[in-house]
Amino acid sequence: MELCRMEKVSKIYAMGEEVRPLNNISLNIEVGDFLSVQGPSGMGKSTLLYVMSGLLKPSEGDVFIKDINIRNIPDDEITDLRKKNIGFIFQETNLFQALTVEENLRFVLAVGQGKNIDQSKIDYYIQELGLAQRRNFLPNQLSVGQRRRLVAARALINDAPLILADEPTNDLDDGWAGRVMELLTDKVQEGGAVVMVTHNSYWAEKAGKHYTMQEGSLVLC
Amino acid sequence: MWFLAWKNVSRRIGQTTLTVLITALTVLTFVLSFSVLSTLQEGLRLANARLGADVIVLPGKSNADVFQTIFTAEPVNIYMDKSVTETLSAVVGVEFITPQFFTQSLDESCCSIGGATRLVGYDEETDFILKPWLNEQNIKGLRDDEVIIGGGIPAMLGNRAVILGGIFTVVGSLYPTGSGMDETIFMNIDVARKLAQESPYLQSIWKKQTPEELISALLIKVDNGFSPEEVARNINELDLTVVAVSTSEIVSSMKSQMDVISRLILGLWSGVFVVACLALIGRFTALARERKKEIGLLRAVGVQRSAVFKLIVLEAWIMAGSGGILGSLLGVLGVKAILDILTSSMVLPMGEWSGLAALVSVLLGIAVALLLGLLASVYPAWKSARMDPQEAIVRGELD
Repeated sequence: MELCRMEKVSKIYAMGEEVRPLNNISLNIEVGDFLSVQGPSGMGKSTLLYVMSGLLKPSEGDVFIKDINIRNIPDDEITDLRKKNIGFIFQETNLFQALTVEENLRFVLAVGQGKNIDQSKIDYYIQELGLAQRRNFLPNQLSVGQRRRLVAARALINDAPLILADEPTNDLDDGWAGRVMELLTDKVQEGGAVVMVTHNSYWAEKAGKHYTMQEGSLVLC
Repeated sequence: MWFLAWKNVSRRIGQTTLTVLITALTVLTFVLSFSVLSTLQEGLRLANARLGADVIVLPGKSNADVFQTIFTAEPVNIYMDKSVTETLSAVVGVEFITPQFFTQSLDESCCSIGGATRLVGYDEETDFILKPWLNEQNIKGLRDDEVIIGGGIPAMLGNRAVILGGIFTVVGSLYPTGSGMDETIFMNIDVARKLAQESPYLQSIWKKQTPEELISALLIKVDNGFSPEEVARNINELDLTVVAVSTSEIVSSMKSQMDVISRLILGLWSGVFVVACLALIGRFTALARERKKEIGLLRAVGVQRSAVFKLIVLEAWIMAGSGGILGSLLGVLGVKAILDILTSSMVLPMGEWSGLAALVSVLLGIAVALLLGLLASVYPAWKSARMDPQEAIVRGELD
C-alpha cells in the first residue's frame, strides 16, 4: 500500500543565484519500506523530508500522501493528513519547553488521538528510551542525547504509518542509536514505513533501500 | 490547548509575572477611576433624589457656603431670625417650608462619633424632609431624649449617645443621601436649641439673640408649576439678608463639573490602556518570536492554524485575566481609602461604596483585562498562525 508518492518534485530557492536542493525527484514509499538517504550536509536531505511531509511546498511537481495530492488542498487538510499519517523526527531537538518529558508525549498523543490517552504507550516509550528517571524533567534539564530520544518517542507514539527521521541517531551513543534504529525497524515490521536521512554510513546501510543525494537527485545505491 | 497554554504560562514565571503586572496596573487604575467616579455620580444622583428640599435658604450675612452646608457635615453655626419662616411661607410658589436649627457636638462629646459633628434640630410639625423616612420606619416622632443619625454614621440602633452632656437614645439610621445628612445627628428643634443654649462652650454665640429666636436654614418644597430656580429668585429679590438657592441648580452645577473631571480621567485612563496595549503587543510578539520553533513544531505534529491562534490568545487571556483579578482586588481595596481622602479634602456628595459596587468593579476590571489581552494578542497570534512551519522549525531563532 502506498503511503507517499513524489512525482517530479523540485524545490528551487532563488538566493542571488538559483539553488535546487531537490531536482525532479520521483519516489514511491509503500508499507514495509525502510529508506535511508545519505549525503553531505546542505545537499537537501532535510528539504526532501519537509516536502514529503507537506511542511514545505515544492516549487514543481506533486506530492501525494495516501493518494491525496497535497498541492491543491487547503492547509487544514494537509495538517490533518500529516497528523494522521506522519511522525517526524526533526534534526533539531525541538520540544515543548514548558512541558515535562511525560507531558510532551501526552500532549502529542492528545493531538493525534484525542482525549482517550493510552498511558501504557507513554510508559512504553519512556521505558524503552531510558527516560524513566527523567519523566518529570523539563527539556532544559535533559542532556542532548535524552532530548534526541524524546524527539524519537514523540514521533513514534501516535502510530503514524510513515516516520520521517532526520538524523535520528545524532548525539546518541551506539547503544541508544541502536535502540532507536530497532524501534524504527519495528515500525516497518508493524506495517509502517520509514524514510531516514543520515550522514552516517553505518546506520544508512541498515535500511532496506539506501539512496544517496547527488545534486538534488536521489541515486539508489 | 488549555493544558499547553496553562503550562506555558505557569512555567515561564518571569515573563508571566511581567505581563500580569502590566495588566494588573492598568486594571487597578481602571477600577480606581471607575469606582470613584461612579460613587461620586451615585452621590449626586442620591443627593438630587433625596435631599428632599427644592430650595434651601441660609442666612445671607453669614459665611455659610451652600455647598458646605449641603454636602458636608462640618458644623456650621449660622443663624437668622425665625420670623423669616413666616415671611417666606407667603412667597408665591412655596408649598411647604420647614426650619432647621444647627448646632454641634464637641470633640468626644458624643460616644460614637469622633470630632465635632453637626446637630440638626428639625421642626416636627412642618418637617417634610425626615417625614417620609420616619413614616417608613413607623416612628411617629422623636421624644426629647431620642435622636436619628445619618446613613454615614455607623449604626448604633438602640444604643445610647452622650451629646453635649445629654443622654440620647438612637432610634434609627437614615439611608445614605450622599449629602451632609449622612454625617448628621437629628433631634427635635427645641431640644437642639436647649442644648446649644446650655452648652458652656457655645455661649459666645448667643450674645445678641438666644437660640429660641433663631433658625439656621429653611427648607422649601415648591408648588407644582413653579420651578425651584424661580422661587429662589423670588426670595432673593425680597432683600431679607438671606440667600436662597435651588438645590437642583447646585447639583446640576456640580454634575457639570464632575462630567469634565470624568472625561479627563477617562481620557487619561484611555491613554494608559493604549500604552499598556502597545506594551503587551510588544511582549506577546516577542514571546511568539522566541517560541517560533515551538509553534512550528505544533504545526508539524498536526495542530491547525486556528488552534495555534487560540493557544496564543488563551495564554494572553490567562495572564491578562490573572492581572485583571489582581488589579481589580487591589483597586477595590484602595477605593475606600481614596473616597475617604476625597471626602475629607473636598466638598463632594458621595454615594455608597457597597459590596455590590465592589463586585461590579471587579467584574468590569476582569472584562477590561480580557479585552486588553485579546487586543494585545490578536496580531501576534495571527502572525504565529500564519507562520510557515518549516521556516519556523529550521530558522526559528531568525526573524
